[in-house]
Amino acid sequence: MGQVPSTPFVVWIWRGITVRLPGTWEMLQFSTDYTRGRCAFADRYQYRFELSWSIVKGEPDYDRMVGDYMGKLEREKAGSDLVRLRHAGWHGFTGTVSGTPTTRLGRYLPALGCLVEGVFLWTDRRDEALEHQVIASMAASPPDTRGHQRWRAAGLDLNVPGVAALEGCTLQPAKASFSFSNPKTGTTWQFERLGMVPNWFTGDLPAWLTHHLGTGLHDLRLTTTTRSGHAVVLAEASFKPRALHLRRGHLAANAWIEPADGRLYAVTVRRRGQHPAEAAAPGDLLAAAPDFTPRWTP
Amino acid sequence: MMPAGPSRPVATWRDMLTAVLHPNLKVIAEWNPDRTRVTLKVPTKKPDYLIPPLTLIIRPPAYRSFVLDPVATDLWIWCDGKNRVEQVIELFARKHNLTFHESRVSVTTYLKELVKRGVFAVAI
Repeated sequence: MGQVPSTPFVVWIWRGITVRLPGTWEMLQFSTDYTRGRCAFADRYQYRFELSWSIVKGEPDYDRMVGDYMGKLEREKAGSDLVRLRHAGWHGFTGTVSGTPTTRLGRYLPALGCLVEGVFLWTDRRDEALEHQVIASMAASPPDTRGHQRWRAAGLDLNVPGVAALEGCTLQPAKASFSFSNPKTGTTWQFERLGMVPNWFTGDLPAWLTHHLGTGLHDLRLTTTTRSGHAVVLAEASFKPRALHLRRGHLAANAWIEPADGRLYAVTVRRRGQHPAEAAAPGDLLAAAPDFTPRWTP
Repeated sequence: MMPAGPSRPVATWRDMLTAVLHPNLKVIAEWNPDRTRVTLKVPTKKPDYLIPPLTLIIRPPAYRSFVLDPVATDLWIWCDGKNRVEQVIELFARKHNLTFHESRVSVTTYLKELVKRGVFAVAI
């Protein structure tokens, strides 16, 4: 008891920002906003790290920005022992803020057009080695050669077409889901990762996928194939969107149980046309990221 | 720096994790023959308005019974007055291959419900 699970570091990619954090730090708060947002990560006892982003017009005057903020904290008597930091292009300070040892570093990432900030909340004192390791990993994750954007969080490793916008995200115990859509074409992408599988899964993956896809489908075809040594169920169907004037669309879905973490993964794409930027098969869009699931030591 | 809102102390849930849940000593646990399911009989409190001669007509049940599902059954076993909430969360996480916080949210939701129903008492 009391042993931490043996997951050393995990790469998170959120809103185009990559950060490598200790495996025991989990994301408890997140923002789906594109222009400005924040994610908060906690170990088992308290919040440990915050990642925030904000679209800005260009590289800020770091000296003024950091100086103003430190001055504000000192005026409000919220900060003490504040020391300026410059580390590999990151600007900020360390000290005690509201009674908590804190390091705050920010940097403009031109690839994203964003000011990105990392805030460390230390438990007793600053861990410089960890701080450097995390800060060195913080970078922009630009689209790949196909123009796909990568998201990596809560056990899901997504490669979503660049035209897709994040519509929603749900992170609950044993259930993580992301939904994307292209407002111009109406195409939607849905990704899910479900846990505690032995407690609810009857063992029939095609039947589960059929139920999961819901009603309103025509010509549903299910096939089972093997990928990386495990069974994957593929589904294809056509569907009629609710609005009368909309043409019939095409649905493609994949589902499998990942042997490495025992979780059920599912991806569903509902296309409403033939757009080259949306042509990737579901199997190319989602990969399991079992490193998010701890290996509990006996 | 980006405005970070009002400065405030960092939230911690350490106290909650160090709490110990004690089973209500008056609860009667009845297991099914293969010991896979447990029914808990929690004594009910007589409502204040039930005074003679009303008690001659209305007889409230002495117990309220709860049939625990497998998850709650595990919690009933693990919350033995010795394990801290943190240890219970870890046992649950190990059994279901969850992360600590996935397990924490599930376990504390269950435990809140069981405390509300008089199955457990909390010692902090």
